[in-house]
Amino acid sequence: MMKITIQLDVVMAQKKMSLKELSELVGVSNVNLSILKQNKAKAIRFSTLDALCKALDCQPGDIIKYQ
Amino acid sequence: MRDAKNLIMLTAIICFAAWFAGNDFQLPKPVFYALILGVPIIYLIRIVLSRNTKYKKVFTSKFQWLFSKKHSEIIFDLDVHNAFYIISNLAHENPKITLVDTDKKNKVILYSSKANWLTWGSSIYLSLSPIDDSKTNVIVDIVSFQTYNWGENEKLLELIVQTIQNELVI
Repeated sequence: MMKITIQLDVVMAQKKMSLKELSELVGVSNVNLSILKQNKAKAIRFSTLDALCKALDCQPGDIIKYQ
Repeated sequence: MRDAKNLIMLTAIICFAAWFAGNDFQLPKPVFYALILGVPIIYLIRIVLSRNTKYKKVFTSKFQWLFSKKHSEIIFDLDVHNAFYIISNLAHENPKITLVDTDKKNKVILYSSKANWLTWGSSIYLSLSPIDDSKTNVIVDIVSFQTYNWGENEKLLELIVQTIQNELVI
């Protein structure tokens, strides 16, 4: 059982940003962001993480949690 | 490249047929007409049918002994709709395959691979079916349009599996 989880939905709710808006800002498709949100992704690129942090004005630790 | 090779093959068949005719070759007439007309017609039909997902069964049937085939199944850790989207965009990640046709209703995707000196190119049929809300079964059928393949189908299967796995790196 993987203990690293993506808390993208929490950060998105805090920043009041929709998946569509985030997808346009980050340059990653809706489907791929949804996969990430559902913790289905096998890995995340630094470039994607960088773009997410920039778009959501947060730290990588806000998005990725170890539980 | 594959179309060019097909055209060369077709021209060669017609030239051979014309040469046999010109040299008064002693073939029985029905056999001669079957060769001169039948082979190019079958060849053309094969080219047309292999570009549509509807005719998948024609090429992947177990009774189809003219072409070499490779069958495999992968379980993809995504729901069928997202898996269909991801798998129908594989060509962006891999220049060795080209998207030919998709059937959204029956969840079938058809790719073709490029021809090289070992192969005329293959058709890759990917059929998706849901296992549950978060898992999809992907059936991969690779059909090479030659009776014997030189390990190209196995390489293609490996490439497809690898590309699908890489799609889950966001």
